Amino acid sequence: MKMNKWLRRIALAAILTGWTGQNNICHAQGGEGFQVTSTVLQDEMVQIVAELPAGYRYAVVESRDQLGSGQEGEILVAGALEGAGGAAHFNIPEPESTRFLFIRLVNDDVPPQPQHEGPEYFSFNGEIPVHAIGVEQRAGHLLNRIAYGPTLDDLQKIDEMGITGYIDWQLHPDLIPENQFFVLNNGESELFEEYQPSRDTVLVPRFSTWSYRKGITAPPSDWMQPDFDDSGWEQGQAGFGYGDGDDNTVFRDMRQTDSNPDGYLTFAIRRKFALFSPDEISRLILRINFDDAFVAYLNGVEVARANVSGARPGHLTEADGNHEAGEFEEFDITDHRNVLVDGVNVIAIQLHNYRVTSSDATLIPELLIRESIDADPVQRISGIDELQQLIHVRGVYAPNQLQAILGEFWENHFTTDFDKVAEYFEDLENSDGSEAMSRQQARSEAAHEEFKEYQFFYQHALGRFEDLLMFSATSVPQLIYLDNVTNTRSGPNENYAREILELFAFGVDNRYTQRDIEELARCFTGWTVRKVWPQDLKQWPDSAVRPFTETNVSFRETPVIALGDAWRYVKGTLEPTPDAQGNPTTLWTRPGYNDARWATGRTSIGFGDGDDLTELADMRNNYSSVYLRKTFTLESPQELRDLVLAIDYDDGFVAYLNGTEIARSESMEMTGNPPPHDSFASRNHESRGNFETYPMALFADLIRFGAQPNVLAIQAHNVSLRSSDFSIHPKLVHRELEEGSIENGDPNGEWAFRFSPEDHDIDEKILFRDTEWEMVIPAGRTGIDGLKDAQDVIRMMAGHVSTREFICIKLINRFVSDDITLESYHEGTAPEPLIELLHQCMDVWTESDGMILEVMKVILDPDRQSSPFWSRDFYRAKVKTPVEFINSTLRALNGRLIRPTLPDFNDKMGMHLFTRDDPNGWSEYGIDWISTSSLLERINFVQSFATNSDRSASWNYLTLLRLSGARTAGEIVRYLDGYLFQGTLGEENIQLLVQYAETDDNGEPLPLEPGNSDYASRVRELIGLVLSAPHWHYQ
Amino acid sequence: MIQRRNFIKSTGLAGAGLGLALTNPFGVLSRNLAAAESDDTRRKRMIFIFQRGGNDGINTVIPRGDSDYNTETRPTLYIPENLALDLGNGFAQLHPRMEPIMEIFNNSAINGVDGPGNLAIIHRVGYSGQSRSHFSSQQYWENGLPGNDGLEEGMFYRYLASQYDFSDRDNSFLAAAISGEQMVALKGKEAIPNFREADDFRFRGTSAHARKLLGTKAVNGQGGAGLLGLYSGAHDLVGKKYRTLVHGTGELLGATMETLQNAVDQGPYTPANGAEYNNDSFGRRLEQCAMLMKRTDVKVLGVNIGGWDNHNNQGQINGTHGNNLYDVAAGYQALYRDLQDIWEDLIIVTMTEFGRTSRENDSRGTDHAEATCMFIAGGGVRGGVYNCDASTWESGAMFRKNDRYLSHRSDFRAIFGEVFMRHFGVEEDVLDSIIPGFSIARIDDPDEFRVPQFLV
Repeated sequence: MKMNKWLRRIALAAILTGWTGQNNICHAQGGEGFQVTSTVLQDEMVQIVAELPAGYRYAVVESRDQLGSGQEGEILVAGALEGAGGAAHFNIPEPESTRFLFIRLVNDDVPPQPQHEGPEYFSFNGEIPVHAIGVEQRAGHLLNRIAYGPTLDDLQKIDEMGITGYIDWQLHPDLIPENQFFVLNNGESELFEEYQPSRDTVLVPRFSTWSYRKGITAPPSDWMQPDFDDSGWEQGQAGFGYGDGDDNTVFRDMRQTDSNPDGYLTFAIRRKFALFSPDEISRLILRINFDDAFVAYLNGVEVARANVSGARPGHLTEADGNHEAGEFEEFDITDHRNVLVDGVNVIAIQLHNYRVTSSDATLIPELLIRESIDADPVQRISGIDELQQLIHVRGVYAPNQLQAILGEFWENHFTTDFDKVAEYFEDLENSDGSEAMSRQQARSEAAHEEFKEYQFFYQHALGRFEDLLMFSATSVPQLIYLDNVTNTRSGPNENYAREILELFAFGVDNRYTQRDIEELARCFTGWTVRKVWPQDLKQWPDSAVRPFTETNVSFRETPVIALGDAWRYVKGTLEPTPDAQGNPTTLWTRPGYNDARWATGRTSIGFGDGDDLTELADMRNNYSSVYLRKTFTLESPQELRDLVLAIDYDDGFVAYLNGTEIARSESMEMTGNPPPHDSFASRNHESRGNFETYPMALFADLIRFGAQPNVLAIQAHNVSLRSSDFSIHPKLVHRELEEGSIENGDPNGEWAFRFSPEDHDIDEKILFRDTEWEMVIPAGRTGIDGLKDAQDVIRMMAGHVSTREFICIKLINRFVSDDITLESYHEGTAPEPLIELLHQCMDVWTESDGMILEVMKVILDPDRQSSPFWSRDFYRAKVKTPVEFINSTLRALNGRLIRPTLPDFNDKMGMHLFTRDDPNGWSEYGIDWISTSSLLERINFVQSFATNSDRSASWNYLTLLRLSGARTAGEIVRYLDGYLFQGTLGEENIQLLVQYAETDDNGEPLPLEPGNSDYASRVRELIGLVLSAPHWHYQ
Repeated sequence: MIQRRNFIKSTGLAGAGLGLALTNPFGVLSRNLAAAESDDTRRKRMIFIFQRGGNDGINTVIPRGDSDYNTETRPTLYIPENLALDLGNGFAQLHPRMEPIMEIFNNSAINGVDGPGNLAIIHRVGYSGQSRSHFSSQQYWENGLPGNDGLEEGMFYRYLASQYDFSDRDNSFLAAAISGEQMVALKGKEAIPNFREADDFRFRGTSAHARKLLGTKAVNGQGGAGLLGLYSGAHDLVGKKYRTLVHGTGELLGATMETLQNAVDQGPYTPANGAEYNNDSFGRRLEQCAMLMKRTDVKVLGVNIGGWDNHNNQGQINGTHGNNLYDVAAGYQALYRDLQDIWEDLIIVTMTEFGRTSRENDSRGTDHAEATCMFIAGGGVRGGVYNCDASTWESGAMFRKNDRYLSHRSDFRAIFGEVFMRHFGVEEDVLDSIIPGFSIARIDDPDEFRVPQFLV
């Protein structure tokens, strides 16, 4: 096969033999990949023995007068190598005037023409493997496996450096010059954004209860004033409105219809909230989700409005136009902070619909304070889409291709699911019981944590496996993904223990038992996560071996009502205040209710678990609930600061403040308002000292200040009459955060591994019992020592024969062939060369303590190029994964990435990175990637990219034509055949492709000529078909 | 003594490494083709639903009569008796969210005729040497060979291969997975199509361009054009691994595209008899199954539903697990109403790789375990509850295995053997090529291969 012009350049000429003939002294010098083993001058003949690297067709010795590679010398002796590496013997008649002899390796199509020919001048003892691929296929093959396919740039690099030199760069990415990273760095930087640290404090939460009034008639003119009496208004939880499913309080009569001829355009809502030191507020934000318009007032003064005109719009004022709800919009109302008072304030909002017949209306307000934090902005990945795109940016642009590939490989091996991490964050609470963060913040933090995890794998891609395994075990996404965060001594969760054995280290059923899983799960008890201030974040490996042990929030408590105080209580044998029909009411919760006939007892009140000061010995099998009341006073609204109601319970409760419900356990949902005395909690809940807390400032409007007593009332319920225990532990306390605490929801924090000694099981564990790997974890490792339990096992696992087998097989699958599995290896049915290679990998793993770099050297065999990696049997016998398919397609056409939408294509082809549900990662096996659906998506992707009709990426066909010099369909196809398929496309396919290019949509002949007006689009279409060929799925 | 199970495991599969097994190990198949051609059992069809992740059978079909099901073993998951659905045998109850499927169980029928219900609820299905790995156990349920992780060849594929000639153009759309990834159950030497949306299964661009792009098949490397030409003809990549799969899939793509477009072109699909499919991915995929069952000759369709791996916060009634059960039940109800016209020829089955631990874990979830339950509906199904009544559910069953797991009473292969024989009319000797070692195991290991009589 005729090689292409750019491949015909001289391959390598870096080696020289210094030669001074007159003095009969020879100086020899080796170079990269060369080793000159001897030079002797004897009988007027120069005898040179040199070890030559594999990958070249011919070796020549030439004479030159000076050093330097600028000129070509006279060829004295030459011989064929046929791609093999090995020892060459050159026998050269002593030159008369020459001062230097050079050995040069070339890949020319035409054999060199030396002065002296014949076996007496050149002999070669090459170690050419029987089934090795030809020289002309090696560069392309190498780039198909250790890179995401060939590019012109990388082929040229191999051309210049030789295969050995290129592999050396890839194995040592720090050798690659900085200037080669320009495009990559530029592409990466677009995926990150700067975050300016700040802190929000919510004054009025999103789903608060408000007083509301429908705008059927005009409201009193002072309805928005702070002292307006709204006791006649109804109460409801935000959002308000109808028609779009986002409303907790639905106004079914608002829309005018045939059956509801009245309708109304507006409604008003009011709410009190507590605030301290308003002059210290840096920014005041009204965050609001609305449809179609609103006007907002603070203490009677208008502070914000949207989409409605006129001074003080009335109840009949229409919005200026449509505005759909969906996104919360922020209004900065800091300029109006002077209307706020220290203590209780009132916010009032009127919602205006566009038409009384509109199909929907929405109002969901939130009021908060935002403080800037004096800290530098930080770089964060912009989101999960950008993180997924990062795999493509690196895959397409990275000069360190092998590192990019291995980064993806390890990320996929130690897989975690972004969605599960985000959900975990979203479900968290702050120490005061409030929701820690919005869905948006949760997703942002999860993406950042996933980035940090992937970045470690990328940076340590060629490092020690033990580090990779240890990092993964202690990484935040993994701790969350496989439930180690819930793995405690009182209830081990074996999810992670199972998968680290089955999927991350040993391989399925490879020398471990269910019992080992259970023992290992106990070793992992107490492993969890916490938030930390960024400056406190620990660096690897401290992050893993010296983790935080304390929780992220600690606080001092000053009681208003302490645990152990005396409460009034009555057993729930009867309804305390039934109405005339015997139905339950909340009369007993009101301040005026006379509880003089109730008993008195110290909390907690209950039975069965030994923690109760007031024991209800007759409760079991008798009654299911207890009612409690307690009065307290507060001097002024300032006392609401840090004041929380904290309740621990078994199994359920509902709490009231001055007659209004303020808190309810999940287990009492759907049991009635109020629940009857004989109702049960819907599920078990043990009291374990983890108090659920409710900030009292949120109920400022219910509280009476001064000497007037307030009443806290609680009804507590058991899960069944037969239940063996019951308890209610209520307290009302000032809770002040200690210095250094950081709340779960603080957007400035980052997440870190935490080891919780009190949740760790310190009993003895025995793993791999009765095997040579048996490991006894001694009992009694208290405190941080307990961390060693699992970490000792991880270190042992990293060197275990099962891990060596499983990980080396997976690397062989990725880089050489998927013809070997753990099973076929154990059965001895895998191909012999692969088994041999595996044994070599496992040996070097043992010698190097699990260095992936060393394993990769064995696989790639850069010097001899005789490992199975270079075997004809495994050449073009692997199927690309979707990521590999997309990246190689972009690289083939020198594509430029535009928008972070490539992951959408991955998804359609069946490989959505970072969000896989299953913990086994995406498959390394070709059979999992070829199906009609994925094939269709691959072809559709290639078609849209080749024709530049998708905005994810683009390419320039002129560049390709310029570099190739090709113009006709035949020239273009043959050029691509050499460039992308190493000449394996086959003549029949070449003809078919040419015919395709020279035919119109109706099957009529239509020559393809550069002068045609549609030349460009038809060239693109042709290239689209070339890259849709079956050959392009192989690597 | 040689274990029969080991025999089953190794039958015909020596050397069946991953992918290598694509060459059909069961050479007996073709001789059955002729016999099967004229059989009217070829009208028989199946929809299978794979619940990926391992469904908690104990909270799905509740063994109320077992005192081990209580608030001590399942503190937050326990469903009180008054909230669960009665299954009429004084022992088993159904999760309340599965109420829609009771329409089939009770057969309180669209046509107004009361009859025996057409829903079999089979509990305690599993296999000996149960794997608690998702990936292994899913593989076994699909390839029909517990213990063989490497065989990427499905039990349903082998059924199809035993009854139909894949080279016949009329058989170009025998089966499909409504899924972005092909399911192992349908994998085999010849490619079976898979897709997410029948309607999207086409090339972009004008129809003339799409026609040109698709092209025509080559014969002996000659005369081909476009994609079909590239994927059908040339003598290239000969002997390369995956060549048959890659090229075959390319060829299949064209035929599948044509069949699907013909079906889609018949217009928007309206379910019959007031059937309503949930407007989510699973519901829409079931609706496509119904559409394809009516508008094509497809025999076997598969759908996945994920989200069953509930290690934490599984939920009692309204949580993750309950929502998933509702989706399955609502799907059964919709298919039952919609497919009344072919109900006599149809069978709908669920599969899931394992059940979950009988004891709730401390994360309010459950971990991987062993036996679980299956739902089988269809015109030929003898409705009822199997393996979950006072006579079959011995005391202590929930913790019989290792004090942790519900033990199995029926091997899943026995269940499918019944489906192949009684529903699809497969001869018993042919069955051995679909489920290797079946006939021996049934005689030799009757306890393992206990078959509930759930088919008429």
